[in-house]
Amino acid sequence: MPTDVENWKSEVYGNEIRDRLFEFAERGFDSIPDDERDAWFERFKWWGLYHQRNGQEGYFMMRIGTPNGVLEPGQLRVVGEIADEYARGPGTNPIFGDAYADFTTRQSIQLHWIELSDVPAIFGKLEANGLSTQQACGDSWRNIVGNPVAGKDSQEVVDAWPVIRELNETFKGNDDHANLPRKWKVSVTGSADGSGQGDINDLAFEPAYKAVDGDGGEAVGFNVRVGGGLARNEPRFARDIDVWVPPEKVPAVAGGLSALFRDYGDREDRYNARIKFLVDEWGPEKVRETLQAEYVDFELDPAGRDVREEYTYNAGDGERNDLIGVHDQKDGRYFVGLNVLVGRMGVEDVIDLADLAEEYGSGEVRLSQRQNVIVTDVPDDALDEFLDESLLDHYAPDPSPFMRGSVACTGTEFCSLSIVETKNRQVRFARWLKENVDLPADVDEFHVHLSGCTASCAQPQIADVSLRGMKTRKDGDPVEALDVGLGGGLGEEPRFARWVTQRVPVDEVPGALANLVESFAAERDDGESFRAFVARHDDDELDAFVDPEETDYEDPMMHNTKRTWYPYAEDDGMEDAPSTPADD
Amino acid sequence: MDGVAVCEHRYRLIRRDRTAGVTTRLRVLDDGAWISVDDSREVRVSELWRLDAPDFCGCDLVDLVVENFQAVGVDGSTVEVRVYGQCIACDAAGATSWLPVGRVRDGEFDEFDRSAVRRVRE
Repeated sequence: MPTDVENWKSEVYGNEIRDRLFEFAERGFDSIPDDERDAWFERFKWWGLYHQRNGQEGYFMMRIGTPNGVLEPGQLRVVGEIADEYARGPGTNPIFGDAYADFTTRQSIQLHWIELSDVPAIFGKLEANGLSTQQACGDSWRNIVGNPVAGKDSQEVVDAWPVIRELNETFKGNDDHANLPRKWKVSVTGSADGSGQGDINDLAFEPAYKAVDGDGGEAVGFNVRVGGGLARNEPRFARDIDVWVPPEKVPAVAGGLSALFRDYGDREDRYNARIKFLVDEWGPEKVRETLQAEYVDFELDPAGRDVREEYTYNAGDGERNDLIGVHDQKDGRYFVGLNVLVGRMGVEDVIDLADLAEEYGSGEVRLSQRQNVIVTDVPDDALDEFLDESLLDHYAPDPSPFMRGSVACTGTEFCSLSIVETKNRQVRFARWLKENVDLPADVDEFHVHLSGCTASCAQPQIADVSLRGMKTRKDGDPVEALDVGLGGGLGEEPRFARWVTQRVPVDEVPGALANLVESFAAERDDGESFRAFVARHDDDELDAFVDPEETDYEDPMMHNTKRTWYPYAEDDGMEDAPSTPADD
Repeated sequence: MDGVAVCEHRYRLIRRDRTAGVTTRLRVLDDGAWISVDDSREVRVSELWRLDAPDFCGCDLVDLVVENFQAVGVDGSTVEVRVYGQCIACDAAGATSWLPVGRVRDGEFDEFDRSAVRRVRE
């Protein structure tokens, strides 16, 4: 029996939602019939609009999909202007202010407090500037991710940017692929650093060489993996289906696999709908056989020689664990990765950054999967002056390991599913750790990912320290808490974090991390990475290292932040929630 | 189930009160974040519930973190849910049996006191 969501999708979905969305926007939020709200809010996701949690009725999160995180010259300014004009609501964030943009772990941008009546004007401005919210949420092709500096990176095996653009143009708004059983996350990576994080995507294209015609030559293309994902206590790494594909055939294979998912995915149980479960059931061999037999009209090549042994991104050791700092482009210029703590940037800083990108680079800005920004195309003679800009004091190219390692999801500030406050909390954690904890001198990166629930939007399972929202009781009272996992990361041999300590009250987490780092510093082998240190200890030993302790860190959000209409409001009770915004 | 017609499904359940002729729409939405009653978000995850649920774990009272709604149903006028969660007293995790969360009367939903002990339906 199909689910309600499937029934709603079968009635109206995809491009046709837009006309109705605009009608509702024109006639006002209250024009959505009371008995159709669940259906329309589900459908609006396809156009990047997600109804914020209860207490914030009538306000939406808007996600802008920027393929591969590429913001062409001028586009970041447009995002900043839209945030400034439209992403202001009744709540003020004590750290980030009234209006801000969130850079996400899928190289997209999220704005909050969007009112329905403003959507047509926002879409008009976005689309006039080559931006879109189409399929940013919902059951379809999501924003395609990859190495954000594709086409510029000096370490590149193959330029994935033209491939990503073609996939985006082919599968955004494509009615044959608009209604899938569930979300469809695709990564295309051409660099040897693994920064596309293909292993945690539904579909991954990874750089690989293929011998051609027996003359010793090799062609560059992609190996294909299917069925990765982190959500719901069911993390999977994408499975190798033994296929190599040249760049020009990527759309055919990607479309074939998307169609296979469309036709064979589970539409009766959304919890079992992601393709990772179909790969579990079928095995990678059957996925390949079905793709070959039913969805492509050419002979698939077996997998080629990959470069996974060179992967360093989010791998816990070696160079380029992230893309922060100054790096060579292949044209002799530089790209400069700037740390955006938990991915959130106030609108004034967004616009200032757009100015700097135009002044010192080409105006282009790119977004990484670690929620950071990259200014590209900075020439040698402008580099020092750019690095001296005061904005870079805050968004640093050489930040503290605890600042550069911080990733956090949206949390209870806006999200329905989250169990705890996240972004502001991770800012508080990072600042406290920076002031109070010393890593060994040779350790310059330490990734701490805070996710509010098992949906894993902050990708907690692939961090050195994984924090996941929970509840516990402290002195008998319910308080927000975090599970602690250790030793996750990608690389040649990716590994999910092991959850070693459960339900640490949030005010004891900084102390726990301080004690953990102290044990690591005292007991590590020479030059040993944190990830390697974790790997050679069992769970009980690690649990002992994570020694929760109260410190001078104070957490102002110990209570159930979900019971507030907005955790930072002076009068935060649900009874003080603002009314649905007026239609103006 | 006096006077009630039930169409039980993980994501959709319609309760029809024959005497009043009122239909109530019950749904699990947003990846299990909510129970929607008549297109209004009424019951949320992230609470701690005390359960009398001997099949869930060995604790006298389960102290359950509600992480995810799995299904919604009705028993008479009582709205019930199955949730995924974890007992913070003993670490047991999994899906519960049917638990009462509120009652529909004259088309209006009243949520039960969240601090009350909930007893699973046998």
